Amino acid sequence: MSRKTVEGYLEILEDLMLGFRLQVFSKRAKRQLASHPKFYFFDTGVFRANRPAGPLDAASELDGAALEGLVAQHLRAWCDYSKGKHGLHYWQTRSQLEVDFVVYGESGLYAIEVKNAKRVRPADLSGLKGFAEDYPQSRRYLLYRGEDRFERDGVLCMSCEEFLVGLRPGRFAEN
Amino acid sequence: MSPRAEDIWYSATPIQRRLLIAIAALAGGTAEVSGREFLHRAGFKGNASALAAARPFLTGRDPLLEKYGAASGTGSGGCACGYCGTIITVFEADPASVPVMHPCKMAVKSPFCAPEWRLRHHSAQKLRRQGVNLLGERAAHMHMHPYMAVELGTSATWRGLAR
Repeated sequence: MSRKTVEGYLEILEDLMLGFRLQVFSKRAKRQLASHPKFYFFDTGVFRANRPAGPLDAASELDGAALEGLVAQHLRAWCDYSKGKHGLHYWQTRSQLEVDFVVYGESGLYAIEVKNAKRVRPADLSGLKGFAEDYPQSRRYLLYRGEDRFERDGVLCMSCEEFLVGLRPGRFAEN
Repeated sequence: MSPRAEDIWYSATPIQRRLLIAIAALAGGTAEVSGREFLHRAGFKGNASALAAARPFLTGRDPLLEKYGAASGTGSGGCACGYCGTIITVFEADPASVPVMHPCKMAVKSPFCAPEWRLRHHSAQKLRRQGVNLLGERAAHMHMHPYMAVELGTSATWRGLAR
Protein backbone atom coordinates (compact mmCIF):
# COMPACT_ATOMS: atom_id res chain seq x y z
CA MET A 1 0.00 0.00 0.00
CA SER A 2 1.41 3.35 -0.90
CA ARG A 3 2.13 6.00 1.67
CA LYS A 4 -0.31 8.35 0.02
CA THR A 5 -3.13 5.84 0.34
CA VAL A 6 -2.45 5.29 3.99
CA GLU A 7 -2.32 9.01 4.52
CA GLY A 8 -5.70 9.30 2.83
CA TYR A 9 -7.14 6.73 5.21
CA LEU A 10 -5.73 8.53 8.20
CA GLU A 11 -7.20 11.75 6.92
CA ILE A 12 -10.61 10.11 6.75
CA LEU A 13 -10.25 8.89 10.31
CA GLU A 14 -9.34 12.40 11.36
CA ASP A 15 -12.27 13.91 9.51
CA LEU A 16 -14.58 11.47 11.22
CA MET A 17 -13.01 12.60 14.48
CA LEU A 18 -11.97 9.07 15.24
CA GLY A 19 -8.34 9.97 15.51
CA PHE A 20 -5.84 12.76 15.58
CA ARG A 21 -2.25 13.29 14.65
CA LEU A 22 0.50 14.82 16.69
CA GLN A 23 3.14 16.87 14.99
CA VAL A 24 6.71 16.87 16.13
CA PHE A 25 7.59 19.70 18.50
CA SER A 26 10.03 21.84 16.57
CA LYS A 27 10.04 25.23 18.29
CA ARG A 28 13.61 26.53 18.30
CA ALA A 29 14.78 23.07 17.44
CA LYS A 30 18.46 22.45 17.93
CA ARG A 31 18.70 19.14 16.15
CA GLN A 32 17.31 17.34 13.20
CA LEU A 33 13.89 16.06 14.06
CA ALA A 34 11.56 13.44 12.72
CA SER A 35 9.10 14.85 10.27
CA HIS A 36 6.19 12.42 10.39
CA PRO A 37 3.18 12.95 12.58
CA LYS A 38 2.08 10.34 15.07
CA PHE A 39 -1.43 8.98 14.92
CA TYR A 40 -3.71 8.21 17.88
CA PHE A 41 -7.32 7.22 18.13
CA PHE A 42 -9.48 9.72 19.96
CA ASP A 43 -10.20 7.15 22.61
CA THR A 44 -7.91 4.39 23.62
CA GLY A 45 -10.93 2.09 23.81
CA VAL A 46 -11.31 2.40 20.06
CA PHE A 47 -7.74 1.27 19.67
CA ARG A 48 -8.35 -1.64 22.03
CA ALA A 49 -11.43 -2.74 20.15
CA ASN A 50 -9.91 -2.46 16.70
CA ARG A 51 -6.39 -3.64 17.13
CA PRO A 52 -6.28 -7.25 16.00
CA ALA A 53 -4.76 -9.32 18.75
CA GLY A 54 -3.60 -12.84 18.11
CA PRO A 55 -1.30 -15.30 19.79
CA LEU A 56 1.69 -13.59 18.20
CA ASP A 57 0.93 -10.22 19.72
CA ALA A 58 2.37 -9.90 23.17
CA ALA A 59 -0.15 -8.45 25.58
CA SER A 60 2.45 -6.03 26.87
CA GLU A 61 2.88 -4.57 23.38
CA LEU A 62 -0.81 -3.76 23.17
CA ASP A 63 -0.93 -2.44 26.70
CA GLY A 64 1.93 -0.07 26.09
CA ALA A 65 0.25 1.52 23.11
CA ALA A 66 -3.10 1.60 24.86
CA LEU A 67 -1.62 3.34 27.89
CA GLU A 68 0.08 5.85 25.67
CA GLY A 69 -3.23 6.49 23.96
CA LEU A 70 -4.93 6.97 27.30
CA VAL A 71 -2.42 9.62 28.28
CA ALA A 72 -2.74 11.18 24.82
CA GLN A 73 -6.49 11.57 25.11
CA HIS A 74 -6.15 13.08 28.58
CA LEU A 75 -3.51 15.57 27.51
CA ARG A 76 -5.51 16.52 24.46
CA ALA A 77 -8.56 17.16 26.58
CA TRP A 78 -6.44 19.08 29.07
CA CYS A 79 -5.03 21.31 26.32
CA ASP A 80 -8.51 22.15 25.11
CA TYR A 81 -10.15 22.65 28.46
CA SER A 82 -7.39 24.70 30.06
CA LYS A 83 -7.27 28.43 29.76
CA GLY A 84 -4.94 29.78 27.15
CA LYS A 85 -3.68 28.14 24.05
CA HIS A 86 -1.89 24.83 24.40
CA GLY A 87 -0.60 22.47 21.81
CA LEU A 88 0.08 18.78 22.10
CA HIS A 89 3.09 17.45 20.24
CA TYR A 90 5.64 14.75 20.44
CA TRP A 91 9.38 14.96 20.05
CA GLN A 92 11.72 12.70 18.17
CA THR A 93 15.16 13.32 16.84
CA ARG A 94 16.72 11.68 13.84
CA SER A 95 18.94 9.83 16.28
CA GLN A 96 15.81 8.20 17.71
CA LEU A 97 15.68 10.05 20.98
CA GLU A 98 12.00 10.24 21.72
CA VAL A 99 9.59 11.89 24.11
CA ASP A 100 6.01 10.68 23.86
CA PHE A 101 4.28 13.98 24.50
CA VAL A 102 5.21 17.60 24.62
CA VAL A 103 2.68 20.12 25.86
CA TYR A 104 3.54 23.66 24.92
CA GLY A 105 1.40 26.59 25.86
CA GLU A 106 0.85 29.60 28.02
CA SER A 107 1.23 27.68 31.24
CA GLY A 108 4.55 26.18 30.32
CA LEU A 109 6.43 23.49 28.54
CA TYR A 110 5.98 19.91 29.69
CA ALA A 111 7.56 16.76 28.39
CA ILE A 112 5.91 13.46 29.23
CA GLU A 113 7.17 9.98 28.65
CA VAL A 114 4.93 6.99 29.25
CA LYS A 115 6.24 3.58 30.19
CA ASN A 116 4.11 0.55 30.81
CA ALA A 117 6.51 -0.98 33.31
CA LYS A 118 6.65 -1.34 37.07
CA ARG A 119 10.27 -0.13 37.27
CA VAL A 120 12.10 2.80 35.82
CA ARG A 121 15.22 1.84 33.94
CA PRO A 122 17.92 4.43 33.24
CA ALA A 123 17.38 3.91 29.50
CA ASP A 124 13.78 5.08 29.90
CA LEU A 125 15.03 8.52 30.82
CA SER A 126 17.29 9.06 27.82
CA GLY A 127 14.66 10.76 25.67
CA LEU A 128 13.70 13.16 28.42
CA LYS A 129 17.33 13.91 29.19
CA GLY A 130 17.93 14.73 25.55
CA PHE A 131 14.91 16.98 25.62
CA ALA A 132 16.21 18.68 28.75
CA GLU A 133 19.46 19.57 26.99
CA ASP A 134 17.54 21.39 24.29
CA TYR A 135 14.82 22.78 26.51
CA PRO A 136 16.18 23.23 30.03
CA GLN A 137 13.14 25.30 31.01
CA SER A 138 10.79 22.39 30.45
CA ARG A 139 9.28 20.26 33.17
CA ARG A 140 9.71 16.58 32.60
CA TYR A 141 7.64 13.64 33.72
CA LEU A 142 8.04 9.94 33.40
CA LEU A 143 4.81 8.05 33.96
CA TYR A 144 5.14 4.42 34.84
CA ARG A 145 3.06 1.71 36.43
CA GLY A 146 4.78 1.66 39.81
CA GLU A 147 3.68 3.47 42.94
CA ASP A 148 6.68 5.51 44.03
CA ARG A 149 7.23 9.10 43.23
CA PHE A 150 10.78 10.33 42.95
CA GLU A 151 13.00 12.60 40.96
CA ARG A 152 15.89 11.33 38.91
CA ASP A 153 18.13 13.35 36.59
CA GLY A 154 15.69 16.23 36.61
CA VAL A 155 12.78 13.98 35.69
CA LEU A 156 9.82 13.52 37.99
CA CYS A 157 8.89 9.86 37.91
CA MET A 158 5.37 9.16 39.05
CA SER A 159 2.59 6.67 38.77
CA CYS A 160 0.61 7.08 35.58
CA GLU A 161 -2.66 6.78 37.42
CA GLU A 162 -1.71 9.45 39.92
CA PHE A 163 -0.77 11.75 37.09
CA LEU A 164 -4.02 11.26 35.19
CA VAL A 165 -6.22 11.63 38.24
CA GLY A 166 -4.38 14.80 39.21
CA LEU A 167 -4.76 16.28 35.75
CA ARG A 168 -7.50 18.84 35.71
CA PRO A 169 -8.15 21.83 33.49
CA GLY A 170 -5.90 24.70 34.41
CA ARG A 171 -3.67 22.57 36.58
CA PHE A 172 -1.06 20.16 35.40
CA ALA A 173 0.09 17.31 37.59
CA GLU A 174 0.04 17.96 41.31
CA ASN A 175 3.33 19.15 42.59
CA MET B 1 -43.14 45.21 -2.30
CA SER B 2 -40.55 42.88 -0.91
CA PRO B 3 -39.95 43.08 2.84
CA ARG B 4 -36.88 44.78 4.16
CA ALA B 5 -33.94 42.65 5.16
CA GLU B 6 -34.10 43.61 8.83
CA ASP B 7 -37.80 42.83 9.00
CA ILE B 8 -37.15 39.34 7.77
CA TRP B 9 -34.33 38.88 10.24
CA TYR B 10 -36.23 40.10 13.24
CA SER B 11 -39.38 38.22 12.44
CA ALA B 12 -37.53 34.99 11.76
CA THR B 13 -37.58 32.11 14.19
CA PRO B 14 -34.21 30.89 15.48
CA ILE B 15 -34.26 28.01 13.03
CA GLN B 16 -34.93 30.34 10.15
CA ARG B 17 -32.13 32.60 11.33
CA ARG B 18 -29.75 29.74 11.35
CA LEU B 19 -30.73 29.05 7.81
CA LEU B 20 -30.23 32.67 6.92
CA ILE B 21 -26.81 32.60 8.49
CA ALA B 22 -26.01 29.53 6.47
CA ILE B 23 -27.18 31.18 3.30
CA ALA B 24 -25.25 34.32 4.07
CA ALA B 25 -22.12 32.36 4.65
CA LEU B 26 -22.62 30.31 1.56
CA ALA B 27 -23.37 33.33 -0.54
CA GLY B 28 -20.17 34.89 0.71
CA GLY B 29 -18.22 31.76 0.26
CA THR B 30 -19.22 31.09 -3.29
CA ALA B 31 -19.95 34.34 -4.87
CA GLU B 32 -19.90 32.88 -8.31
CA VAL B 33 -22.90 30.68 -7.81
CA SER B 34 -26.11 32.53 -8.22
CA GLY B 35 -28.19 33.42 -5.24
CA ARG B 36 -31.11 31.52 -6.64
CA GLU B 37 -29.13 28.33 -6.67
CA PHE B 38 -28.23 28.79 -3.05
CA LEU B 39 -31.78 29.33 -2.11
CA HIS B 40 -32.75 26.25 -3.98
CA ARG B 41 -30.11 24.22 -2.19
CA ALA B 42 -31.20 25.64 1.09
CA GLY B 43 -34.72 24.54 0.41
CA PHE B 44 -36.14 27.96 -0.34
CA LYS B 45 -38.40 27.67 -3.32
CA GLY B 46 -38.31 30.87 -5.28
CA ASN B 47 -38.09 33.10 -2.23
CA ALA B 48 -35.36 35.48 -3.16
CA SER B 49 -36.04 37.80 -0.25
CA ALA B 50 -34.28 35.40 2.09
CA LEU B 51 -31.02 36.05 0.33
CA ALA B 52 -31.70 39.74 0.46
CA ALA B 53 -32.20 39.33 4.17
CA ALA B 54 -28.98 37.50 4.56
CA ARG B 55 -26.82 39.82 2.54
CA PRO B 56 -26.33 42.64 5.04
CA PHE B 57 -25.15 40.13 7.60
CA LEU B 58 -22.66 38.86 5.16
CA THR B 59 -21.14 42.15 4.24
CA GLY B 60 -21.05 43.35 7.81
CA ARG B 61 -22.16 46.74 6.62
CA ASP B 62 -25.53 46.47 8.20
CA PRO B 63 -26.00 49.46 10.52
CA LEU B 64 -27.87 47.41 13.08
CA LEU B 65 -25.15 44.84 13.23
CA GLU B 66 -22.49 47.45 13.58
CA LYS B 67 -24.39 48.96 16.45
CA TYR B 68 -24.66 45.63 18.20
CA GLY B 69 -21.05 44.88 17.44
CA ALA B 70 -19.98 48.09 19.11
CA ALA B 71 -22.23 47.38 22.09
CA SER B 72 -20.86 43.92 22.62
CA GLY B 73 -17.30 45.20 22.45
CA THR B 74 -14.58 43.62 20.46
CA GLY B 75 -12.61 42.32 23.39
CA SER B 76 -15.34 40.47 25.18
CA GLY B 77 -15.93 37.96 22.44
CA GLY B 78 -19.64 38.54 22.86
CA CYS B 79 -21.64 37.98 19.77
CA ALA B 80 -23.96 40.57 18.42
CA CYS B 81 -26.34 38.12 16.90
CA GLY B 82 -26.91 36.18 20.08
CA TYR B 83 -26.77 32.87 18.34
CA CYS B 84 -23.32 31.74 19.26
CA GLY B 85 -24.56 28.25 19.79
CA THR B 86 -24.62 27.79 16.06
CA ILE B 87 -20.97 27.96 15.48
CA ILE B 88 -20.49 25.84 12.47
CA THR B 89 -22.91 23.99 10.32
CA VAL B 90 -21.88 21.78 7.51
CA PHE B 91 -24.31 22.42 4.78
CA GLU B 92 -26.04 19.15 4.23
CA ALA B 93 -27.33 19.86 0.78
CA ASP B 94 -23.84 20.49 -0.48
CA PRO B 95 -21.73 17.42 -1.05
CA ALA B 96 -18.52 19.36 -0.82
CA SER B 97 -19.41 20.38 2.73
CA VAL B 98 -18.79 24.03 2.25
CA PRO B 99 -17.88 25.35 5.64
CA VAL B 100 -20.50 27.64 6.98
CA MET B 101 -19.24 30.29 9.25
CA HIS B 102 -21.06 32.19 11.83
CA PRO B 103 -21.21 35.87 11.10
CA CYS B 104 -20.75 36.90 14.71
CA LYS B 105 -17.12 37.87 14.25
CA MET B 106 -18.06 39.90 11.21
CA ALA B 107 -20.12 42.06 13.44
CA VAL B 108 -17.10 42.97 15.51
CA LYS B 109 -15.11 43.96 12.46
CA SER B 110 -12.84 41.01 12.13
CA PRO B 111 -10.08 41.41 9.60
CA PHE B 112 -11.61 38.38 7.97
CA CYS B 113 -14.83 40.11 7.14
CA ALA B 114 -13.16 41.76 4.19
CA PRO B 115 -15.15 40.98 1.09
CA GLU B 116 -12.14 39.60 -0.71
CA TRP B 117 -12.16 36.55 1.54
CA ARG B 118 -13.82 34.11 -0.76
CA LEU B 119 -13.97 30.43 -0.74
CA ARG B 120 -15.34 28.46 -3.59
CA HIS B 121 -16.40 25.00 -2.77
CA HIS B 122 -14.27 23.22 -5.31
CA SER B 123 -11.16 24.66 -3.73
CA ALA B 124 -12.30 24.16 -0.17
CA GLN B 125 -11.15 20.59 -0.04
CA LYS B 126 -7.84 21.48 -1.54
CA LEU B 127 -7.32 24.15 1.05
CA ARG B 128 -8.37 21.90 3.84
CA ARG B 129 -5.88 19.30 2.79
CA GLN B 130 -3.19 21.90 3.26
CA GLY B 131 -4.38 22.41 6.78
CA VAL B 132 -5.94 25.81 6.30
CA ASN B 133 -8.49 26.73 8.90
CA LEU B 134 -11.55 27.26 6.80
CA LEU B 135 -13.31 29.09 9.53
CA GLY B 136 -10.80 31.86 9.18
CA GLU B 137 -10.93 32.27 12.97
CA ARG B 138 -14.44 33.54 12.57
CA ALA B 139 -15.84 31.21 15.14
CA ALA B 140 -14.75 29.60 18.33
CA HIS B 141 -13.88 25.92 18.30
CA MET B 142 -15.32 23.74 21.00
CA HIS B 143 -14.30 20.17 21.43
CA MET B 144 -15.68 17.51 23.67
CA HIS B 145 -13.24 14.80 24.51
CA PRO B 146 -13.66 11.45 26.15
CA TYR B 147 -13.89 11.71 29.90
CA MET B 148 -10.80 12.62 31.82
CA ALA B 149 -9.99 10.62 34.91
CA VAL B 150 -10.92 13.55 37.10
CA GLU B 151 -14.38 13.67 35.56
CA LEU B 152 -14.95 10.05 36.34
CA GLY B 153 -14.62 10.67 40.03
CA THR B 154 -12.37 9.05 42.54
CA SER B 155 -9.28 7.18 41.75
CA ALA B 156 -11.01 3.98 42.82
CA THR B 157 -13.79 4.45 40.30
CA TRP B 158 -11.33 5.05 37.60
CA ARG B 159 -9.37 1.98 38.51
CA GLY B 160 -12.53 -0.03 38.28
CA LEU B 161 -13.23 1.27 34.82
CA ALA B 162 -9.72 0.77 33.64
CA ARG B 163 -9.77 -2.86 34.60
